[in-house]
Amino acid sequence: MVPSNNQHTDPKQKAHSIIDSLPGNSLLTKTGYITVGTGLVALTISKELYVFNEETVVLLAFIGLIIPLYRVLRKPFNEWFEEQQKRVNSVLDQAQEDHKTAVKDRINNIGQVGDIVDITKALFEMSKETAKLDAEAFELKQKATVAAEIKAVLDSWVRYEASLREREQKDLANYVIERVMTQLRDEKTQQEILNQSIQDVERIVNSKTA
Amino acid sequence: MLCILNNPLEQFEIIKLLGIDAPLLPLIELPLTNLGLYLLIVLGVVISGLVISFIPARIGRDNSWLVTLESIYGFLVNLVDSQVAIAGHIYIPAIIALFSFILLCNLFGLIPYSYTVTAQFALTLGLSFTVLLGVTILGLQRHGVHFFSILVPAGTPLVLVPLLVVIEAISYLARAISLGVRLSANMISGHVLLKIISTFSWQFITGSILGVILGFLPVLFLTALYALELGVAILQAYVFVLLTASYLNDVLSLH
Amino acid sequence: MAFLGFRRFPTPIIKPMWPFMISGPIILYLLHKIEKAGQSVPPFDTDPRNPRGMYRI
Repeated sequence: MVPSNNQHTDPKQKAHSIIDSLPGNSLLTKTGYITVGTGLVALTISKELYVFNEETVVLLAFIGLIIPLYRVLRKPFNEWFEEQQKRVNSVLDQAQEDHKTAVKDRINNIGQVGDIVDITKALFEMSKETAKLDAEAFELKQKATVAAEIKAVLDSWVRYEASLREREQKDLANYVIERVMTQLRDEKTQQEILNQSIQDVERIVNSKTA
Repeated sequence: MLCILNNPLEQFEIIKLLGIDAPLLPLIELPLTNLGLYLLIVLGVVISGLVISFIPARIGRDNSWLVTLESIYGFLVNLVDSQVAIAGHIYIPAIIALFSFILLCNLFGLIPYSYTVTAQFALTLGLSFTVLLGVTILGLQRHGVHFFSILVPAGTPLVLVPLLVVIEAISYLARAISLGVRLSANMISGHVLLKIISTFSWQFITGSILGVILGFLPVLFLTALYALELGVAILQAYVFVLLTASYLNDVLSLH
Repeated sequence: MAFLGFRRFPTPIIKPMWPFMISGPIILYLLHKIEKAGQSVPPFDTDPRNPRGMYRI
C-alpha cells in the first residue's frame, strides 16, 4: 500500500492527506476528535480496562489484515456489483419492454374489431330472420306431413271399401250359381230344358228343310 | 525475562457467564456460557443480515448486500445441483442455513477477543452426527430395506460381500466423525497456532529494545497467518456443506 | 398472509427437514449423557472448572 516514490511526495501534502482521512469537517473538530480519542485510549489503559498482552498482537495483525483486504477488495467488488446491477437492470428492463409490447399487440388485435357492435347487431338480426324462416319451414313441413297422413288414412279406407264391395259381388255371384245349379239338378227343370232343346232342334231342322 | 506461556487451549474453555442454577428436570438448566453467547450472536447476525437485505424496496437495483447474498445463494444452488441434481433442491434452504451458520461461527472466531464456537468438538460432532443420522433416517424412509444396499458397492463378488459390508459400515460411521472432526480440528489448529505465535511475538516485542524496533516482523507474519485462517474458515464451511450434500446424494440415489 | 409487505413464500420446512428434526434431539440427548458421564470420571470431577463437580462455583 505504501507508494514506492514516497520520498518525492511533499511532507505537507502527506500531512494534509492524513488530516483529510480523519472524520469531521473543519480542522478544529478534527483536532477535537484526536484529542478525545487519545484521551479515551489513555484512560482505558491507565484504568486497566485494556491490558496489553499477546492478544494485542493478534488485534494488530487482524487490523493489518482487514484494512488492506478492504482496500484491495473494494474496487473489484464494486465493479462486480455494478455488473450484477447492470445485468439485473437489463433483465428487469427487458421484462418491462416485453410486457409493453405484449400489451401493445393485444391492443392492436382488439382495435381491429372496433366496430364489433354493428356486426353483432347485424348478426343478431340475421339470426332472428333465420329463426323465423326455420319456424316457417317447420310449419310447412308439419302441414305436409299431416296431409300425407290424412291421404294415407283415406287411401286405406278406400282400399277397404273396394275390397268389401268385391267380396259382396263374389258372394252374390256364388249365390246365383248355387241356385242355378240346384235348379239344374231338379228333374222337372231338366225335362223342361230337354224339351226346350228338342223344340229348338226341330225348329232348326224345319228351317233347314224348308 | 520471565517466560510465561499460557496453555494455548485455554481459549476454548467454556465459561458460564450467567444462568439459572435450578435444575427443574435433569435436562433443564439454563446457563449462558460464552459458547451460547456467540451462538446467539451468530443467530442474530444471520437473521438480521437476511432481514436487512430486504428492507430497501427496490430489490436488485442498488442493494449490494442483497446482490452478495444472491450470489452466495447461486453458488450453493450450483453446489447442490452438482452433487444431488434436481432431487436435492428441496434441501437448499437447509444447506444455506448450515453454510451460513458454520461460516459465521468461523468468521466470528477470527475476530480478536472472541470465542470460536466451531472449535468445540461437542458442537461440530453433534452437528455432523445429526446430519448423518437424519440422512440415514431419510434413506430408510425412502428405500426401506433396500437402503442397506449402500453397504455393498455395485459389482462385488459374492465372496467379498461380508467383508465389504463391514468395511463400508465402518466407513459410513466414520463419515460422521470425520465430518465434525475435520471442522473442529481445523479451527483448533489455526487458533492454537495464532495463540502460540502471538505469545512468542509478544515476548519478543516486550523483551528488548531490538524487539520494539523489529516488532513489526512477527506482526506481519501473523497477518499472513491470519489471511490463511480466513481462507480456512471459508473453505471449511464450504467443505462441510459439500460433504453434507454428497451424503444426501448417496442416500437419495443409492449409488 | 403478507408480513410487513414481504411476499409470502410457501417454503416447505417439515417436508425436507423431518429426519433432521428427529435426529437432532436424539443426538442432543446422547451428547448430554456423554457429557454427564465424562464429568463424573475421577480426574475431572474434582476440577474447579467443572460446573457439576464437587468444587462448583
